[in-house]
Amino acid sequence: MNSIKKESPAIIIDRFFQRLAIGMFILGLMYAISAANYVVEGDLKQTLSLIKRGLSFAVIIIVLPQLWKLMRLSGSDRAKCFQPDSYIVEMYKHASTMAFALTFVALIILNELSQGYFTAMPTAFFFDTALWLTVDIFALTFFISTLASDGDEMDMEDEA
Amino acid sequence: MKGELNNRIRVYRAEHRLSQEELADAIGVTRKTISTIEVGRFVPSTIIALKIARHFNVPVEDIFSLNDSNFE
Repeated sequence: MNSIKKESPAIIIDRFFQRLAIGMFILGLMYAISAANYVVEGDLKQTLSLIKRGLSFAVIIIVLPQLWKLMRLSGSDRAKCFQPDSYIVEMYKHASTMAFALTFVALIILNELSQGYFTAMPTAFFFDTALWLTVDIFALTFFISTLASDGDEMDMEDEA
Repeated sequence: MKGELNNRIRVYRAEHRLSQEELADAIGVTRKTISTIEVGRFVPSTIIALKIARHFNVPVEDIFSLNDSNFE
């Protein structure tokens, strides 16, 4: 009996979006490290660079296998599952809206900080901070929206 | 949104001995889409609702109905 179950196109696409969100979260951390590099000095700066390099490998390891599986799907399978009205796409839209709105708030705060506290910081610091907040708010909103219990049979099997 | 739309997808799936994954594959959506529709967390588009109804060969009203208590 063949115990290895073939993954359906729907599952491959589900997992691709989840991995993509994880990848985006890590990308956000990389921006945070880039921003932190302007604040710290010495050994810590080197350590942060190493961590950033490790995180970039992690992004590749997490996203690439699932992207490969996605690319191997036939065109019709892929098109069939990328429905503009699927739950995952809806959650992506929700996360995008949340990230867009909160980025404005973050930009206003950063603008105030740039005039008061961080006057010596280069522009790149503020760009990295804004990108960190945007990307991580998106990823976290997506996780929070999708991880809640929803009667998913696979989740129930996992819990059993 | 939650609670405005009742659905009987779970009942029809049980009758047809279909898993969420099999139904998702049959109508071309992800499993998460089916599971969230079933529990009322996600209100499906008209196209998805019609695809589900067509798959079970019943009118869409047999599967989806408005929760009247929200409109009284």
